[in-house]
Amino acid sequence: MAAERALLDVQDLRVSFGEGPRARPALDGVSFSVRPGKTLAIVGESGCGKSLTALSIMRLLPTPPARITGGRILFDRGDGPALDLASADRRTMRRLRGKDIAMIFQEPMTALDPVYPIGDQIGEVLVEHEGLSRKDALARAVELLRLVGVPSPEERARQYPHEFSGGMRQRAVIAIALACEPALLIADEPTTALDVTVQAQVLRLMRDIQQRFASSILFITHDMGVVGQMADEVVVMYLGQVVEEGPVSAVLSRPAHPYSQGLIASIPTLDMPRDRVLQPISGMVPPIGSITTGCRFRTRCPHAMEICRRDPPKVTTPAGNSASCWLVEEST
Amino acid sequence: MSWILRRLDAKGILGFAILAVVVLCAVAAPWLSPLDPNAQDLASAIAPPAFGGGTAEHWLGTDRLGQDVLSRIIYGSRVSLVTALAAVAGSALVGTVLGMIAGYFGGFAATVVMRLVDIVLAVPFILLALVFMTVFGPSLLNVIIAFIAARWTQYTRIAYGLVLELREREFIQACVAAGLTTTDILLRHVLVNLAGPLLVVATLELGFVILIESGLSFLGLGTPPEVPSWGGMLQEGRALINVAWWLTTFPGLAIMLTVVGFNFIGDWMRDQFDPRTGSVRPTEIGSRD
Repeated sequence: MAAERALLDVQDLRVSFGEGPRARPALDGVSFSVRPGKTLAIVGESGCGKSLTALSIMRLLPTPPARITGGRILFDRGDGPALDLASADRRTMRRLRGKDIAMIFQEPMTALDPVYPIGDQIGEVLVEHEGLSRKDALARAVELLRLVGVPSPEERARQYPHEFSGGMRQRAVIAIALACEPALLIADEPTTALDVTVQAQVLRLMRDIQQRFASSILFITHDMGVVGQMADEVVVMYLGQVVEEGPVSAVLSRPAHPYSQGLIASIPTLDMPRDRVLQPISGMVPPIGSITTGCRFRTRCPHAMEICRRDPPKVTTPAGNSASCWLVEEST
Repeated sequence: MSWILRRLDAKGILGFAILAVVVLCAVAAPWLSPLDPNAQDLASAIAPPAFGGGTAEHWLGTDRLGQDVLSRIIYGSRVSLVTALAAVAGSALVGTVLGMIAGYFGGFAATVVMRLVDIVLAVPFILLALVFMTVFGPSLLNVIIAFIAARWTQYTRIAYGLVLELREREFIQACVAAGLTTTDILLRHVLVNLAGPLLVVATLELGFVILIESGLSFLGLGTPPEVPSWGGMLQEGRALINVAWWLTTFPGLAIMLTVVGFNFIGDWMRDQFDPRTGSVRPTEIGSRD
């Protein structure tokens, strides 16, 4: 069976902060792939490197101090061999950004320029990448606002960001991202800054859009509940490494890695007994670069053993998820 | 335009009114001035103003050469306005471009630009202008060049600081992520967000140039004597201050009023751009979900 060609294939990605002997690895051999039309979620605590991964793909890392020190980011543009974004030149990247890969940022309150009307900001991308005239771009902007569910888009397109509520702004940000119908949409915690009710609306919108445009989504979040609603596949990251990956149903129902188990055990559910105490993961995320060998999670893992000082093998479970842990049983 | 009218307070109205009068004088000087500013009439030299015992022919009196003071003040507004606008436009352009480059790209560019700012700021401005005018000779153009050479730093410092902050704002990153070119980002998104504060500085600088130009003319290093200017009139009138008070009082008043007018406009604009007092850019008071 020939494997379906991945839209985005990240292979052994390494990112470091700083130079020479004082360089600290922030991403340490991250690999995953996003299939066409599917949603891949990257989950993890703050500082695990999930946002850094997104910025690396977009080549928006603050350089210096951060830089890509190894690995490949293969992006399939549909024509010819896949392009390695890790080594693409600035010009190629600029043309790709916004057109083939678009990004939705976390904070809708600050992701829009306060001095331009919303319609102009959506149209700007179209003028840049599609060569539309300003007038055509504005007309298309109104269509996009309607598409993302902004009521009376003709008037709203002429309004400024401060006249939009948080949820409406995030819709406008999504409209900008969708303007050129990108093959890949990177969403960096797009709902974290929103109220729960608005959050659900925005998530539903993103799912609708995905079906309509058949685009892939790389969804970055720390919220396991959101993962269940959005993703087809999950990658769990800890301290710059992938500790577990697999289909969303397998990872959520039968997490193999102790860290994934910990993340899922710490979600409150409605049907759990009222006197049950949520299980937090003990300790704090250690600073990057402090643990560079063996299982990075061993300092907080309830099952830590002597063998965890050695790099754990990557093992695939019967459920279909693969985890890097000495405890996981091989599926054979 | 209507929002400007709606937001005008007393200070704003006064500022714009004074500016309007000065601009009118400069533009319509040949029609407004009762006499040729350079016409000499030694027979009626040092005539007092009409309300001080003089005749209605010279409302504000005449100077040593019998030139009409009112006409010279009206024509003098041209020198003041042209110098002020050209000097401020030039220094704002140079300063803003350098400040934006330093702030946005940082690194070596920032070091070079900001150290240059330190050097220029370390030299007293009036000294710099005096040296410059002595070397290159007194002319209107040289006054403008001297001013640009010294005052661009005002805009650079402010632009630099603001760009440093803007660069970290998410929407600038979003622009990069949307594939816009650096030039587009700088011109369409960074510059436009700097416009408010820089405009306020520019307005206050307008008043300052007028003072400096008058000062240089007073020292004999500004405009040549045949061009009527307020500073030049002060210098000529200084020797006769005991016998002809009107020769220094009226040009002095013209300078003061114009500077006050520009400062009022600057204050008013600063209030408008300040989120706490103003309303040009309402802050995050929009409803949240």
